[in-house]
Amino acid sequence: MLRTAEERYGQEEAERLKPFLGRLSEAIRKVQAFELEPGDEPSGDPGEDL
Amino acid sequence: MEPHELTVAEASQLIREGKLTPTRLLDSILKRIDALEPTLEAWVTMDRERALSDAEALTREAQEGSIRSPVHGIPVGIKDIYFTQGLRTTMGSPIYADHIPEYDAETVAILRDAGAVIPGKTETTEFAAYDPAPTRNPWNTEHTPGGSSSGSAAAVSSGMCPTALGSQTGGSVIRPAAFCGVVGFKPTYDLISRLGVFPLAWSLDHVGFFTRTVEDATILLNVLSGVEHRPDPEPPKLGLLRGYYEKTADESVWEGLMDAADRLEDGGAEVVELRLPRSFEYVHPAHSIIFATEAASVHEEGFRKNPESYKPKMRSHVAGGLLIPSPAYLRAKRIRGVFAMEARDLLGEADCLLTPSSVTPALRSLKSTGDPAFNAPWSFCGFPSITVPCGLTGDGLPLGLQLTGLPYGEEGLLSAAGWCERILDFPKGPRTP
Repeated sequence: MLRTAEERYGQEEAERLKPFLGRLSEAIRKVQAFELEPGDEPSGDPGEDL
Repeated sequence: MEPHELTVAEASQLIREGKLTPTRLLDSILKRIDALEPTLEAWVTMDRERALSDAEALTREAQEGSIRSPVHGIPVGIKDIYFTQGLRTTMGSPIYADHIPEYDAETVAILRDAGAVIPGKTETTEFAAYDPAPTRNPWNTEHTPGGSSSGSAAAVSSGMCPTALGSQTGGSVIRPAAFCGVVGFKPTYDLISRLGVFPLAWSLDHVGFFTRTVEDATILLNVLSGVEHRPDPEPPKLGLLRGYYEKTADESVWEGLMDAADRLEDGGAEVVELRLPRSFEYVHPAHSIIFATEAASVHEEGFRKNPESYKPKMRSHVAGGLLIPSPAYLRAKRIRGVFAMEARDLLGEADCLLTPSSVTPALRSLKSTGDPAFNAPWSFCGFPSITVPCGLTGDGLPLGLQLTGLPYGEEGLLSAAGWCERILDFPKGPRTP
């Protein structure tokens, strides 16, 4: 993400974003580790799950 | 007692009985605002002229025996992300500093039709996200009132209005209500219209409101939802969530919750310990992915044109959100479905879930509005939650307990909250800083 941020926003802005991007990358890594089953379909708004 | 000290229910009854006029009530509220606003900075824009004119018309109606609803003549503060026709709506952002909507948000229109008087717009963090508003906490002005509904929470707490609208995407109603010692209520996702409320992350955004009593929260819910909820306060079965909550909470917060739980048990409630479901540890990362992706989508065009116009935290969320791969967003949404199902199962074992309302008491800072981590799971799955004040820290700052119920289970949740409020007996009068 940091590399993409450098390309898109420039090095200075990417440096400012670094801590937030670190947290986002960690969040993405974490959700990718969750074992979903075929029945766990994507939902739209929470209303569809309620 | 001065009129600004009255709850919604008390003022409403006096207006019905002809013992108080909307004009007299508004006059008292405006005097209170004049006295406290220089200290608390809870309001962005006042609308005195229209409020006075509406109050006069509503006074005449009441004198003719016509009362529109339980909020007839009641002043209601409106968070500055709700569109108000002809009245500046800034979203807490310099980008919208001069934005004057052409229509009222549906909730604002409902309130006006029901006879509410709108004195003005209350402060919000930028776009209801993380960059703080200038508002101070009435319990200690060196501390944050919480956010994002900072002005609404401080205004209700201090008696600058008996009730106010807020919104919650993470913890923006429950947390500031707890920090300011008032009741904060976030009904089920989509139960109340979000039309005309500027979105932050649309699948997480909830309308919510602040009051000083659970009875008043019921009045607001009934007016805004158009459904008559009739809670019947009685001892509930409360599902206490330890695990993550106990590990994460500040010591004073957890002690406050345990003390409150003991008092509730002594009063007749059943408190059972429940285990958080397997998906819970994925809830916060999934919430943050949905939050950033949707916020980025809302602001994509404006951000590309003028990124410098955004305050630092919002700018990070938009810039970062635009980089999130779509499979991660979709996976986060699938996790939401799983968590909602598991949370529903959990609520099969108790009337409602019991947790602290905030990780810490109100922080001694105006640079951060605090951590929404204890509220975000219930914004994530869309379940209704409410905070009731439950005590004070050793430093004299309020603490709240958060109750969460099943979707569309507002009546049961308000029954439990009303009973807890009665047992905990926290002072309901306005706080003078």
